[in-house]
Amino acid sequence: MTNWTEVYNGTYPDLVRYLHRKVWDEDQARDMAQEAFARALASSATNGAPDNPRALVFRIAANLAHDEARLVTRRRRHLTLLAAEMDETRAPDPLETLERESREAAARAALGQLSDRDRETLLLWDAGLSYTEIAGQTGLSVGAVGTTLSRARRRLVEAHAGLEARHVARG
Amino acid sequence: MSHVDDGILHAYLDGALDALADAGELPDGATAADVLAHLRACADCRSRLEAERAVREAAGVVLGDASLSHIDVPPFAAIESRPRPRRWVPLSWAASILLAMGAGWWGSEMWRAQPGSFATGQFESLALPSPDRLESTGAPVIVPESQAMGGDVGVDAGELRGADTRGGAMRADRTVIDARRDGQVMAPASQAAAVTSAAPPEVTPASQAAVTSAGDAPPPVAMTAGAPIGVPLSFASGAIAPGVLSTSDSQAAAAARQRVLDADGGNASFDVVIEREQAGRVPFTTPDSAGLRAHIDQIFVISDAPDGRIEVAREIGQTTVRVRQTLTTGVDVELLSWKLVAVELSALVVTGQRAARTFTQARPEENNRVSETQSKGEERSVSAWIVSGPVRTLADGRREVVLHAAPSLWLAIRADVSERELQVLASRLTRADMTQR
Repeated sequence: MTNWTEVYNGTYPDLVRYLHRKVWDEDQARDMAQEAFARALASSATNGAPDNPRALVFRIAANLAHDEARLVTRRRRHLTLLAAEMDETRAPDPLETLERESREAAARAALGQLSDRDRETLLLWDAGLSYTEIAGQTGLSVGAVGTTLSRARRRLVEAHAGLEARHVARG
Repeated sequence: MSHVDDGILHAYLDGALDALADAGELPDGATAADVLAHLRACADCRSRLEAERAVREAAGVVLGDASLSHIDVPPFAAIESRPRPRRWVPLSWAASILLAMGAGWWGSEMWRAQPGSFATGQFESLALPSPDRLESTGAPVIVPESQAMGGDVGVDAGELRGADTRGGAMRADRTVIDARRDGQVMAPASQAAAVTSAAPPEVTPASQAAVTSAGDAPPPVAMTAGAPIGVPLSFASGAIAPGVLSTSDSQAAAAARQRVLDADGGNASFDVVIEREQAGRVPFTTPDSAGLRAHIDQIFVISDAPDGRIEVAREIGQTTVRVRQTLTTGVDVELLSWKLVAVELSALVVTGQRAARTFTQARPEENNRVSETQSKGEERSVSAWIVSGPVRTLADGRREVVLHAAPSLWLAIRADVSERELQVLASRLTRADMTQR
C-alpha cells in the first residue's frame, strides 16, 4: 500500500524544481506538480498501487510539461494571479533580485543549448531520480544514463561559460 | 580491466555503479568493486575522475542558479481534494466536429452580414464621429465585442463614410471607450435588435467638418472599415523575461535607477513621443513579418497574452512600436515602445529647413546591471527595466506606467487595471519571439 502522503512530502519540492526548469514559471510549476500528484492518485485508485510512485509522478509531470509546451495559450488566468503575487510584506532588494534573475537567465540559456535528451536526463537526475528511474523514463539503458549525464554536464558548463564570456566582452 | 569511460566515472560520482553492475552494463562483466579497484590503481583514470568531478560540480552550480530557492509544500489534503481529471476523450471527437461545423456556419453568417466585408464589395473607408456627434444623435455605435475591447476599430460603415484619418481612428478608440461607458456601445448579441430599432444618424456637413477640420488633425491615412489595426502575431512562450527594478526604499536601487535615467536624459523625449502618438501623429505602418524581422531587433509583450497586433513607425533616429494585446481575462493592454537607433549618415537628407535633431546613445554606466547589452550582428537583450515614473491615468481612464532600459529604450504599458495590477503586468514583460499567424 503506497503511503502517498510520504511520497508527496518527499517528492513535491523536487518535482516543482524539475517542472520549473521545464516551464520557467514558478506558479505553473507548482500547479503542474499538484496536478501530477492528483493524476497519480487517480491512477492509483483505478489501476492499483504503482511499483514506483515517485517515478510515476515524474512521468506524469513530464507529460504535463510536454503538453504544456505545445499549448499556445496558458491555462492559468492572468489577472487572478496578480493579487496573490503582489505580496507587499515581502520586499526583496531589487538589485539582489536582479542579480538572481540574471544568474537564472544565464543558467536557463545554457540549459536551452542542450539537446532535449541531455537536458531531460540532467533535470531528472537533479530532481533526485536514480539511474534506473531515469532509464525507465527516458528509454535509455542504465549504462547510457551515465554517458548522457557526462555529456550533458560538460555541455552545460561550456555553454554557461560561453555566455558569461560573451556577457563580459559586451561589458 | 581497461580504462573506464566518462559515463562510468559519472556513475561512480553519482553513486550509481551498483545500478550499472546490476544491469550488467559495466564493461567486461566487471563489478562495482572492480571499477573501484581500477580507479585506485590507475593514475590516468584518477586524473580524469577529478576533472569530471569538477565538471559535475560546476554543472551543479549552474543548475542551482536555475533552481527555486524555497518551495513550500502545500498540505496533502489539497491534492486529495483536487478535482479528478475527467475523461472527455470519448466525446472529444464529436465535440470537435460539432465545434468546427458551428464555427464554419457562424463564420459564413458573419461574412455575409458584415456591411464592410470583402464579400459585399463595400469595403469603405470611413470617417469617425466625434464624441459630440455621438452625444447629439444619441444613436448607439455598434461595435463587435472584440473591437469594443480596443483591439480593432470598427463602425457601421453604412452610417459613416467620408474622409479617412488615422487620427480619427485613434480618436475612435477613445470614442468607443467613452461610448461604452455611456451605454452606447452594444455587444454583438444585441446588434440585430439595435439595427432595426435605431435610425442611422444623419451625416451633416457640420459633423463631418468637426472631424476633418480639427486643428491638430494628422494627415489622412487610409483606414478600412472593420480592418484590424496592425500585423497579427503570435508570440512564442518561453522567452526570457527581463527583471523589473521598481521604485524602492533601497538606496542602492534608487541610485541605480537614477544613473540610468541620467544617462539617457530622463523621460522628456519619450513624453514627446507619447504626446505625438496620442495625437495620432506617429506614422505607424503594418509591415509584413519579414519587414519586422529586418528592422526591429526586439519586441516586448506581456506574457500570458499570447496573441497581439503590432504596428511600427520607423523615423530617422527612432523606432516606435505599438503592440495591442488582450489578456486571457479580456483586459486590453497596449504597449508603446520607443527606441533610439543609430543614424547612418547616408540615410540623412538635409533639407535646410530645420536643424536636424541628433540622438546620441548614452554609454551605459559601468557596473550597472540595469543595462542593455548589444553587439553588432547579435541579438540585443534587455536585462532589466526600471520604472521611470509614477503610474498616471490617461484621459480615457486607462492607467499608464513608463519603463526604461538603458540605453535609449522606453516602454509605456497602458491598461484599464489598477495600479498594482499594472505593476505586475510590468513584471510580466517579456521579449517576444514572433511568428506571424
